[in-house]
Amino acid sequence: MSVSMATPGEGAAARQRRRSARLREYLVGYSLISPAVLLLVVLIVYPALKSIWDTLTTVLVQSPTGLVQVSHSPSLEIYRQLFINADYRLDRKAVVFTIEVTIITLIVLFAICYPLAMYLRFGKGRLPAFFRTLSLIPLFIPTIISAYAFISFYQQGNFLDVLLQNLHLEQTMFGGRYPQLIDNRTGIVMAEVWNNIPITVLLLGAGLGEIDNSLIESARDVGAGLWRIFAGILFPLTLRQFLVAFILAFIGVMGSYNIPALLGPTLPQMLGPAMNDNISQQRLIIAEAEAVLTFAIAAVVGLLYVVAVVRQRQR
Amino acid sequence: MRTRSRLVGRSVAALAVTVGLTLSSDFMPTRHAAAAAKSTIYFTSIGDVNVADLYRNTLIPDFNKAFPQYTVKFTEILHGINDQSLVVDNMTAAMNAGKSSVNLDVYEDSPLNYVYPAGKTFKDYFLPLTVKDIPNIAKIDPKVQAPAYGYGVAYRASAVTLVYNSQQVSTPPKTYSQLLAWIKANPGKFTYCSPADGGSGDYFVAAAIRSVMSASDYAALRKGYNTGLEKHWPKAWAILKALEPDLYQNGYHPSGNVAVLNLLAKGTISMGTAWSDQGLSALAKGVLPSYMHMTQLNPPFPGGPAFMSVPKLAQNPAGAKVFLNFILSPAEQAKIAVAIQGFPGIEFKYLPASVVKHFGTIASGYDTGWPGGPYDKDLQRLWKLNVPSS
Repeated sequence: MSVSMATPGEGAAARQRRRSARLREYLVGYSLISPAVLLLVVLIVYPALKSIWDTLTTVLVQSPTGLVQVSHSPSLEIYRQLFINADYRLDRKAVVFTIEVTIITLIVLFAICYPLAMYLRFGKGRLPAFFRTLSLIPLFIPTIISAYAFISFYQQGNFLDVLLQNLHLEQTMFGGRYPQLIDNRTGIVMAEVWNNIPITVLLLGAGLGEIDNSLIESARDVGAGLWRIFAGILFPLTLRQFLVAFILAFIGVMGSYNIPALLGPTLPQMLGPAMNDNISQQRLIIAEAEAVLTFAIAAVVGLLYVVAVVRQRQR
Repeated sequence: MRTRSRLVGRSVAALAVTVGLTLSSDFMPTRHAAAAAKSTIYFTSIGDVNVADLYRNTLIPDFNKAFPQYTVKFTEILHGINDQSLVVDNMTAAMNAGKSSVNLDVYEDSPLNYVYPAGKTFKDYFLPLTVKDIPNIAKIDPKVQAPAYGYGVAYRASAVTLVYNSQQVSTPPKTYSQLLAWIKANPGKFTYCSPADGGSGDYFVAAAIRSVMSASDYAALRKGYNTGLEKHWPKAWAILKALEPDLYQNGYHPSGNVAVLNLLAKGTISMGTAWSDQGLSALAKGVLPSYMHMTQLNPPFPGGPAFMSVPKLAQNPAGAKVFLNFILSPAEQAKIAVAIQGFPGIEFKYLPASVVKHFGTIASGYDTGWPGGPYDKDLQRLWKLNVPSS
């Protein structure tokens, strides 16, 4: 530790002074961040630890007065139940469905956002500026409002249905049946993608903005195609931003409630609505176990990010 | 309705705030300044915004005009969020602290909806209310009054009804089996909301359960929780499962009562179940077009009264009883019917003909036999496991 090493010839008093100055700095620094840390501990760390502990020490059993929670010595019983008991069939399905929807959403999201961000970065003129503004709009619209907008646009009897009918497309192309896009998995994916476009485009755009034009020009000069430039230059140089956007979207989609509740199918449910149902059914411990599973998945994804960033720094 | 107020509460959980409003200053009578000592009545409601408005704007001002010797202090626990701890647990604390009274005289809910400490029941927390204290109780149908075991008065009610598009349906079904036949004959034109998301779906399912239970078993549901009575429920799941392909979007269940009304309003579906008060309000506001008609089956869908009760620790039980009797008077009951489109607590025969006419065919009544409570939780859980295709 070179900082704490005293220079030769320095007196003990000076060293002492420096040390106490640093101590003061520490104290001020920690006291400034302590409200934030305290809030984190009270609102997140403690409830999370309590949830984990609860799920290890509680099970749900049927009693003459209804379902009751029973304590026991720590074990993974509730998770075992969650994965084998027929009563929790739908909760298992919720876990699978949530992961499925999240992965599909992320694939669609990046398939749209990379080209879009590249267009906004390298395009010239007024049109890209217009699209840049347009792509930010979802950022300012609460999900509950966009979900209702999706309903009033896509639901049977609403805008798109009426439009297709008036253009006689519904009769000629779809056999007179409106091909509804919401109230199913597609509905969730569409709305989740729509909601995540701004932040993803912003992050990828920031990464792309740091790339020197000359780098791309020289690649062009030696005959690299668009895909080669993307795979060889743009993607590797925006990997950090990609990972941040990936994690934000992953955790956001996995934990979402409004969109799957309003635009998803009756069943299977995503974890958000499933947890909510379990709470209203007074099956708190099941909701808690699902919350812990959500933490765990989010933590694994977060870890991937940390590992990737550390690796990149070491390079 | 607890079912609904809880659901509404959930959907706006972000608004989980307790709104405490003291309105006493509005009701200081000036004309009777020299009258005898005034006494205060503390009144707490857990109703939705429309119910709170009814109190603030109509019932409490009316009461003050009629009984200037009382001051009503009104508090609203919006959507009843955290009502257990705010009301019952607080009373427990007061009892443990040896207090002889609390500032709560009239509480707008049934004592039976709460959990009491081991060894205690609602009878230890609330006062029995009889015709002797509150003469207008005699005007309430005993069947409507029964669920509170004499510890609450039914002051308004709502029931699940059938709403249909009269442009598309000329003769609506009259019984549950006719309704099922209609749904099968008109695929895609009916749906009900997920039972956990709204009472209008919950009670449609309860009607299916009732159709597979013997009358005596169904009546026994009211006597306490016994899973043995659920043994024939799988038949109801089979009926509802078979119905799924013929529902809107091959078995899509909207999330909540209002979502069903929206589908009806758009003409997307031709028939659905709805709460009487929500349907009538939507009609009155024009949210539902006037060609949407409401009707009731025979036997009717379940419904339920909302109760008011008086705690044992009330600091002014006499005033509370005067207040309750006033709320049950035909004139005020008619105002409830108009203001929130709610069924009155007292029987329709005591109300002016114009009010009764307003309710039309749905004034025929509702089923008071469905018990709710743990049976409702089982209904919601088992429906989800057995009915929708996943």
